[in-house]
Amino acid sequence: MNRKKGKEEKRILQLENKRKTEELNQARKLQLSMLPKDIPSLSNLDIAVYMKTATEVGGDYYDFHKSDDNTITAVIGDATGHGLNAGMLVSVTKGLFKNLAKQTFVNNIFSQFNESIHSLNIQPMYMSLHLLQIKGNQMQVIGAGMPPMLYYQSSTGSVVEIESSGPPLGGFRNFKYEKCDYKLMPGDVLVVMTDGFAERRNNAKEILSGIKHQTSDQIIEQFVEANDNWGEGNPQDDDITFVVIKVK
Amino acid sequence: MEVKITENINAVIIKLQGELMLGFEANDFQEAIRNCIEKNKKNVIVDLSALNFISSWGIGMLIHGYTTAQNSGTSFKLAAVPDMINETFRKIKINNIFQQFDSVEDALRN
Repeated sequence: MNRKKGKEEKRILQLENKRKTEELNQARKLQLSMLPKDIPSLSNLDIAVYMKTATEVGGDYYDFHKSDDNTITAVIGDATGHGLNAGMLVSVTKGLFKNLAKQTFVNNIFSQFNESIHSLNIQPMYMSLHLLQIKGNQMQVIGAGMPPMLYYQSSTGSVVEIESSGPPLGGFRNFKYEKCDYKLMPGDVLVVMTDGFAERRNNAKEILSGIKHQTSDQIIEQFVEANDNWGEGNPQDDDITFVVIKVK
Repeated sequence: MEVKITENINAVIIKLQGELMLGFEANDFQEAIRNCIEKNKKNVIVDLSALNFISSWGIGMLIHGYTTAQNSGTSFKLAAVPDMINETFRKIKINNIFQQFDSVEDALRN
């Protein structure tokens, strides 16, 4: 009798595992379907992207919008959680980005992101996000809850960290996020990354100090190699995403 | 990651140990805050002295805890925040949002 009961419990457990695996696969598919199929091509910028997803469904996201006047707006972000909820928050963020990316005042874009995500009330889910808008050699940057963005300035050969101006989006209603403005020069490199790579920031700065003659793809290759060496075969707990933009 | 919960007359003390990363601890953490509110305790104190690393998920969990407590008139205090964790808070500008104390005892006194 007990043996029969044990078999039945095992069968139910297997079915439950199968269902959960299927659910995670669906969440992963949803997350990946949110990413752009093509990277925009511009005469003055070399853009490359890398994403390595973790076993557990993370919530990394990147996207681009190119306006008729060749203004490029890029976002890279990370939903502060895992699983189906993270996938849902990413899809909401993508919807907002599609509607807001055409605007030119990035403080306003962020206020609207923050208000919309806050009003969803899917706590404890929030969205960390960096947004860059580049028109010619003018760049506006604004960040929420993201690790610092690395900016290699070719004129001085130095790397500066551009920090977020506030907490993840959706956490605090009416929070005032402030943008920073920069004038880009040929040879400058911007590296935006999610926190899956946070432990490697020192390595990242070292890599960036020697990239004068490399393309964005080659820079990414070096980051990936550094990451793999550091990880020593241990499982990856969180998604890792980079966007590298080099000014031509 | 371990969540250890103790209570005294005025507070619930939540000690987070290890690496706050994957989100499986959320239920215990949120339930402790709900309990604190239901029992009309005045303070939630989160002891971070044994925390080695915090991911974006962990930050989301703390923000949610903070807003839940604040909305019900309960104080949400962080105690013994390690330098490395505080540096993460500073970089994303949430260090000034949370009330911070050097130790759990300090947080209980203030």
